[in-house]
Amino acid sequence: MQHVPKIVLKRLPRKAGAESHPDANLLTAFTERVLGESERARVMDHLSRCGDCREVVAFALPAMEVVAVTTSTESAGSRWLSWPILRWGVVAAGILLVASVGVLQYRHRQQNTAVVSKVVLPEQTSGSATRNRSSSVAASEPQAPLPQSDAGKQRQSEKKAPLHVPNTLPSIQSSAGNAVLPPSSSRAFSSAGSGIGGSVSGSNFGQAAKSSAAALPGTPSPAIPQSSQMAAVQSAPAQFAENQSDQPVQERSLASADVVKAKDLAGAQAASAEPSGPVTAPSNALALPTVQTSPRWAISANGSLQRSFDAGKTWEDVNVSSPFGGGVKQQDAYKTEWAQKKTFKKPMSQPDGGVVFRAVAAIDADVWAGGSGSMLYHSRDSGLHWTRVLPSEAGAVLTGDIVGLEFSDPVSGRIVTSAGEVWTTADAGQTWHKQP
Amino acid sequence: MLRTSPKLRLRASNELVASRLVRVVIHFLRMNPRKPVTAAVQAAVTELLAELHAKSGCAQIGLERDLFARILCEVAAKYLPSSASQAEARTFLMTLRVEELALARACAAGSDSAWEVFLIRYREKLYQSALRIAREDSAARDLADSMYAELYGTNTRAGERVSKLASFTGRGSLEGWLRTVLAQEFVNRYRRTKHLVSLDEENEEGERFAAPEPQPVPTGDSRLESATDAALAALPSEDRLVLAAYYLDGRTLAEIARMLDVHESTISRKMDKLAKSLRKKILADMMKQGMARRQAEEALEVDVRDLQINIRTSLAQESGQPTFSEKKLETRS
Repeated sequence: MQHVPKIVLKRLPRKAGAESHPDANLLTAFTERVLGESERARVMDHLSRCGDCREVVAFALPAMEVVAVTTSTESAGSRWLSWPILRWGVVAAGILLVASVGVLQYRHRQQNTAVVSKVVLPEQTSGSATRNRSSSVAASEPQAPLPQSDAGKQRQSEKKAPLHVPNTLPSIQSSAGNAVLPPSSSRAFSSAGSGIGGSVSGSNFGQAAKSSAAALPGTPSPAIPQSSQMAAVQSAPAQFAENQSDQPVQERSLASADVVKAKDLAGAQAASAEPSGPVTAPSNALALPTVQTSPRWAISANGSLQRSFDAGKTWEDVNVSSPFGGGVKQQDAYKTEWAQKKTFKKPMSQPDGGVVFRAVAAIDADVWAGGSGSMLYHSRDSGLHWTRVLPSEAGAVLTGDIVGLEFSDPVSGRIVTSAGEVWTTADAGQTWHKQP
Repeated sequence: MLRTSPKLRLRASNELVASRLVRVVIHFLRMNPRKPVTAAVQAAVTELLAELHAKSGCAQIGLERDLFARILCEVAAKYLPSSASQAEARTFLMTLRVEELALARACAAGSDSAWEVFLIRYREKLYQSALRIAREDSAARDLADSMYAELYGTNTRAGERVSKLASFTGRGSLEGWLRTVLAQEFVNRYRRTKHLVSLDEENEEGERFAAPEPQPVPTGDSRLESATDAALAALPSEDRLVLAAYYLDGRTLAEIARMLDVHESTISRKMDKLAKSLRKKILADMMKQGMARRQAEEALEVDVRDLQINIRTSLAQESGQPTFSEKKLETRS
């Protein structure tokens, strides 16, 4: 809106003359437009000169049904411009919602009837992949023995009660980590597993692990143990079907060895991998209904900490500086997905007031995240609450960017900084030791 | 916030007594309108009395027919020019909200049944409106309570209860009128408070922090001022009202639109048009007075830096003006 010359404002009359103010009746009738021409003109003339009466009239306006006062200072032109954007936004959101509901339905049906699943990974750029490689490798090494111990338990239980299939199956489920199978799908699952069992070979396992590891270049540690957990669960029904007790175990150890190898390949493969678009794991990885208690963790291309509650389908930014993690609620996953698409279009902004995360390590609910400017955050509750930790020993404090984080268990860990320092803790970060 | 010295409290209580006196006088004046009821008005009232009396539902609220007729005469005489014909008087009477008028006047006359009806219909609205005006609960309660007392009429002089409702004339809705009197009361109070505070500060700190006399803003050219004044004077009063409400009062376009009961886009277009036409007119006028075009444009673009301060000071000065009721007295007596 074009503004009037300032001199006009200066010369606008500000004081009513010696005349009397119109009474409340006239002012009311004026606002309600029931005055005759001459009366209206008189009141109008007074109002144009009397600030008090203008104020009274404005105060006495009836309550508005729609509250739009705050936005109305905009000129009409710009307001009309903004409408189509809004409308299209609503349309786009609607389409996205319909599409995602459709995808969800489709996936749900597939999980109930078939064995094939897709592991959709968030869009990761190759830059972040290479940056994260060190952390994911480092953090997953301590995790590698886990599937084996699981396998050990399985073998024991199989040897003890090889015929008690209905009893051991739940125990496999629990030992397979955080995955929980709904009762309805477990039947289909076991029958499908026995069907596959015969055809599953060691090389297949290795391939599965390798390809899923390759497909997970940017995701941190929990992703890889999960893929081996999948393998573990998958092979278990096969044992019941064919009564082979020892061979699958060897295959599993082979598989976990392959996982380690695959991780070395991961960086190189990730560099050539498509930076955007969902990557799907091969079809012989078994689908587990994804109800997980501890989320997956990742670091996005622009250095923000992200977590996923649904095995990597959707990711949310986690704000470590806010007391409650600042994550978007899980039920808003579709919105998050949409919002992330939007933010990826925007120029990279640095989250958390300039903290760029470089490394993250998670063991169950214990999460450690480190990044630029010796920023180290620790959460004991899967990222709900964060505390900043500054490692120091005898007056020396950690300097530089944290580039590597390794935690073999919730209390003992190791930090590598860009300055080449190595810090270790054996008591969950209470005290630290700088290695010479 | 409000620090009152004994002197000021005395002043405030004097003011209170004065405003009560003022109300009594106003009431007296209202009961005895200066304007005589013309024959035309009398005839129109007689003609329509039966119809209006039925419409107003006076019977239920205990307002006598004679009193109602007198009220109609008084209202018509107040607003109609003495030269109005019987037809004009009839048209006028037909536009009145006689039902609400009868209710308000019956309340003022002390009818309990009318007061009950009034409470049922308007009590809640009174508090809600007060809340919207005062924007803060305790202030709103205070405002509504004092208004409530005034409406009921607590000032008893010579055995007569004086109710503010006696001044309602049925031109607009009773609800709107209630909002307006609330707003007037609020503005009165606000001005008074502000006045007291500023006096207070003056007493305590005025000497130490005596501000230098504000220099008159150098405007450069008197021709610019006269041209602007002429352009403004040529505007219809509605345009001046819009300008003042927007630039001086800081109202939003939506609020102005509702004040004038037009669409917001109308006001928006009007503002655009005004900005252009005013500029053009002022330039033309200055050139007529012998300025070169370039010179005139430069004069118009001069940044009046002290403008904001000026508005503020002039508004503050304005706050010292007498309030509504006092002013009415001045003009009436």
